[in-house]
Amino acid sequence: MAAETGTPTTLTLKSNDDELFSVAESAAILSVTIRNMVEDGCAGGVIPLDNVDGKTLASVITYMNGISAIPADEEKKKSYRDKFLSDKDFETLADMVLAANYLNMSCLMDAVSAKIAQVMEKKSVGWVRRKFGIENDYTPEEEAAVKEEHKWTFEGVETDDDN
Amino acid sequence: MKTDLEFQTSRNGGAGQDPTDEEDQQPQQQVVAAVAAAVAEPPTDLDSIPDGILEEIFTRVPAKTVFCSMAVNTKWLSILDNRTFFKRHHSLSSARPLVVFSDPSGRRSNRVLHLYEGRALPDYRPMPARSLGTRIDFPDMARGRCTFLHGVNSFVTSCKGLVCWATHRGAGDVVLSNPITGEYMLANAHARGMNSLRELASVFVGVGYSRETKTFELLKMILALEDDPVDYSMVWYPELLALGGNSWRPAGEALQFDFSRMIYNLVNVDDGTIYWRYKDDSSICTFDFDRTLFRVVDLPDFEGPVLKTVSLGVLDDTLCASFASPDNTYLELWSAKTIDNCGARGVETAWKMLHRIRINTSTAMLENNGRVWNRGAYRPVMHVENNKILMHDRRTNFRLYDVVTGSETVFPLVEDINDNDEDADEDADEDDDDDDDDGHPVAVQVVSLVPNIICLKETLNIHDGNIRVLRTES
Repeated sequence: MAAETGTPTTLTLKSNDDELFSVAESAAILSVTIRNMVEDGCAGGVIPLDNVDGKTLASVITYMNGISAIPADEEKKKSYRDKFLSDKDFETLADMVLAANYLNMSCLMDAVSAKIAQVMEKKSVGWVRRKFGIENDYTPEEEAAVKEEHKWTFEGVETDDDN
Repeated sequence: MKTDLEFQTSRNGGAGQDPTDEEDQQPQQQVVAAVAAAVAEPPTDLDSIPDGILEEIFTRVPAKTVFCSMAVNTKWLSILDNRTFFKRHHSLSSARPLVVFSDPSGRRSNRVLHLYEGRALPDYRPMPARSLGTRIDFPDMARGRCTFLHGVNSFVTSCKGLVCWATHRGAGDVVLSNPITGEYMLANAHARGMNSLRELASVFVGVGYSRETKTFELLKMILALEDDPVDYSMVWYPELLALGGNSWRPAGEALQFDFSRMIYNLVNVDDGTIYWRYKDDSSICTFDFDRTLFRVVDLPDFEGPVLKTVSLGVLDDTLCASFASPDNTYLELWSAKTIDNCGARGVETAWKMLHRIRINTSTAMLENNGRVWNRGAYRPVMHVENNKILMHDRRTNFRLYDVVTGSETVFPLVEDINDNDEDADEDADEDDDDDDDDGHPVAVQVVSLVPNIICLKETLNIHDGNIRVLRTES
């Protein structure tokens, strides 16, 4: 369709749970993955994004539209990103960082990484393991040794009960 | 079909579902799917976040959190405990306030450092930073030396994650430390004229970095009697020590200022440049480690007397000067940009006004034991999100200014001080306040530090096995 009607102005994206989204091409090509598809002429139909679910994709598209509506003003873009991410919980952020990586969107990737980093500050090792779904493969002795080596860094960290 | 899409775009493309008939697009969809599969990794759960993404996140957490995260599991340890990662983390880190307390008793030359690594909170306060645990006890040989001088640190300087100060106003040892790794080493600061200390009026030592030679160097400035003692005038003798080397060498001609017996207001920018002012002189001096050259930087054109109303600091990795109007109604912050002409004209400095803040005068007069303490003397420390500037009032408080509203928040440098030694430091600071007016260092200083996880010897690029690196007690 793209080839037949000239440059398309909108694209249809499909999430891995089969939700369809329309988005202006100019906003969608913030994703290098999508841009490459457009350049390769594959963007005329529905673009399936197999690694992104509908909820996350909706968020990403909101971001694409929001950020591309802002003229080249880094300050304003930054404050938009801050505001956009301010009410997202950890699970959403984690989904978004994976989506941003898959879609190859460096500005979103940077912002979400920074936000996750901020959330991780002061969180206990136990909290991190739970949230990231990580199994502790240290022996108790090894873990104690690692903690002992950098003892000061565990001061002021939230205790596990806080979460 | 096209109309359909346009309609959806006008709804902002949000969560709208497209009822497009799919048979029509089947062939293209397959192509797209193939391309997508080629660039995609298999679907991931959180426990299998690709290492690359984890690294992206970890480069943005505070150094402290990096160490904590090493205890999560062996995979995270292998990602984090890695030189390449450390370098990347340092290059992406921004300067944070480091508070350095002296032990004024001089009995134990221990120093307590507090680093504020926390990010901006809604109503910003630096994350309450307990001590970094960097408590430097000197080996026996260094104790007791020069006990006739106060045990107060000389000016603390910081460069690429390292901090440096001299004990006993420079006549003792020079401490070079990475507060993040807790390592420190001592460089011999034997000053010219050490044999006749009466001649030695003042010394300071600062750490800098030469991009040309890629070495860290210490600049030592000694104010001493002139070699030819006929007229008994005092002159500045500058010397340099390349770190890793053993001997000090002359560092060219220092600029001599009449009556300039005291250096004060020393700051350094993370790129390794040092700036300072001489007491009773309004210009700024700097030393160019690349060219081994002293240079004078004029202050911006302030409207009013500048000797007591201007203070240097570092904001966003550049030299910054704060100036309070003589009537204390506004505060100006200027940042200096260094322009390297690479030619005959050499290096120039251009000033730009960052902020002009209206300040609330009602609290300006009756504070600090009833003495007027001009806000221009506050040292800019850090830009904080939401238009706020963190300043150090050169006593025991941070001051946070909202550059738009002029509102001011005051809070102590260190909350929750339990340690007796630290309490002693605070008390002593009060006694030392007058010292600062006279250009002497005080018992508490705040510098900008860009946290650096790389170990000291590697940062310094020293491979001499004879150089001893010591580790502070945690």
